[in-house]
Amino acid sequence: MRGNELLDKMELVDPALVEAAEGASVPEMQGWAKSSGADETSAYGIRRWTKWAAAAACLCLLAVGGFMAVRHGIFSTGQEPGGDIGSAQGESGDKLPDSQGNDDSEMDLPEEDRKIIVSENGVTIPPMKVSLRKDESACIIKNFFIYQGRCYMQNSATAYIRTLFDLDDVEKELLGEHLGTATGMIDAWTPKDGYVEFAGSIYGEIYTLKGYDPSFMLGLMEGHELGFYVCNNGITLKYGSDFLEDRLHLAGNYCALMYEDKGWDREYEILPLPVDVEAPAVSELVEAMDRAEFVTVEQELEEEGIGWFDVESYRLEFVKNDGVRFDVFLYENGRVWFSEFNDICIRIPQETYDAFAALVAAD
Amino acid sequence: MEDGRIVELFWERDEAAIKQTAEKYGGRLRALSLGIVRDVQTVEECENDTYAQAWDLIPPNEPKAYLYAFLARIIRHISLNRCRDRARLKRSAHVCELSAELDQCIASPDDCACRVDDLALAEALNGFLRSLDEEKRNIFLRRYWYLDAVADIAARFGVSESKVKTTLFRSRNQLRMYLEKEGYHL
Repeated sequence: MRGNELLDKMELVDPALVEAAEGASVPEMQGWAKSSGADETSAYGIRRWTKWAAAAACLCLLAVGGFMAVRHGIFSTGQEPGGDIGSAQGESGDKLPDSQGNDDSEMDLPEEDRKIIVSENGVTIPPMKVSLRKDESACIIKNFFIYQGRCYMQNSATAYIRTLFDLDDVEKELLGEHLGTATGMIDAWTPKDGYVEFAGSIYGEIYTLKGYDPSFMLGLMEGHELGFYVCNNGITLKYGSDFLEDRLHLAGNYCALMYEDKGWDREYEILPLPVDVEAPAVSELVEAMDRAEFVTVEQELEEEGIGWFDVESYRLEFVKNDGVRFDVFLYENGRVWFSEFNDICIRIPQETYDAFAALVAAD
Repeated sequence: MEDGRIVELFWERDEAAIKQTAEKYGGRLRALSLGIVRDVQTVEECENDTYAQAWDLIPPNEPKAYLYAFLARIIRHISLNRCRDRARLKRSAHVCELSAELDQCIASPDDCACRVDDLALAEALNGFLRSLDEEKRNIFLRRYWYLDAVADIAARFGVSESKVKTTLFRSRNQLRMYLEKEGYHL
């Protein structure tokens, strides 16, 4: 049997279900709100607000989790049992070098050395050695795979958004060389020697992405959907431009910018609203982000407490000309957090934030 | 006129049944057909064929409680067949796309005829659909029963296209797993 026959066989579906779907629409789905007397708009608003609150709580948990992970070494390995990505092996069984070409002995650093290093060169995120056996939450919140000894992570906050590209739309423009197949063999019970090349927590075909450094970002086709996986460790970032320009080539290469000022949520995605990308406030925002210096979230938390995650924020979604999208979380106090990097952030001038907020408010 | 009375007219072999059916459901049936064949003239032919087939099928059928679904099923079938007739000359991209999507629901797609009889398959499909929550079920049916475009489904339910695609992708995977788990080898 093939799909065309199954398409025909769909006519066997219970007429009652078919009838129900015939009339289904937004108001019907929000019957709880209708019955309470709320109009459609406010019902949607309530739904969005609820999601916003839940998502904000998740973000706080992520931030706190990241903070605790760094502080307590959850993302470090040392010599403890369980697999670790840093000890990824090639198909031949040879130990693979990490992203800086270090061999395995050099990667088995003391736990202290696995913390983010702040220096005059910027913030250095050491090569990640996630041991799922030590902390299963690490595998719950992240999809990842191993390629050439590097750990490529899908960003958990935007996983659904990032994986919604249709292959047809971007195949010719974006997909490059086929590198291999992610086997998805790793789970919490995988022994250390199971952390091999192409293993990870996800299945799919791995490709290079044209125009992007494969040591930073790769594409993974899962079924008919393309996800972007970033090696967000083993790198040093000083300014926002190290990420936005050197790696993502953002300036002058984006065609759309969407925003959600509340209700953004990865499970119940809502319709983001467009921003005029020609507006000076947008280019000023990008320039300010490029100029800003990276600091650690840990530093920020110690300075002001977790409260800075509570202030009203925007989730921005930059859409690049080549189809790549990425998120920027913009907070009222000017802090900017990229979901690619849980543990670091930048801060833009308050007036830049205010100008952008005014632009959005004017829409 | 109420559905029950229209069906009675069919049973009485009163041609007013066709007129009443067309008045009540013609627009919705044409919209359904247009979504499949994408051609107004063909839609008219499909609609007429639907009424003719309904005339032949009622009696013995008596779809008083689900007349629209009964008619919709007929016009869907006719419209799909029209598409496939045309596909001999030129592939129908829309139907091919939907067929390819549904390939994902079958563990090992092949060209053999369905190994499960219609009764068992109906039970499987309905069991699966009832296991979904209302929103996912309706999105699935809008796509694969009514053959709606993703953009239309998104507009209908007030969600983004990406959410619709995600929901459909997961539902297809769930259907495949459901069929495997329940032992249906399509």
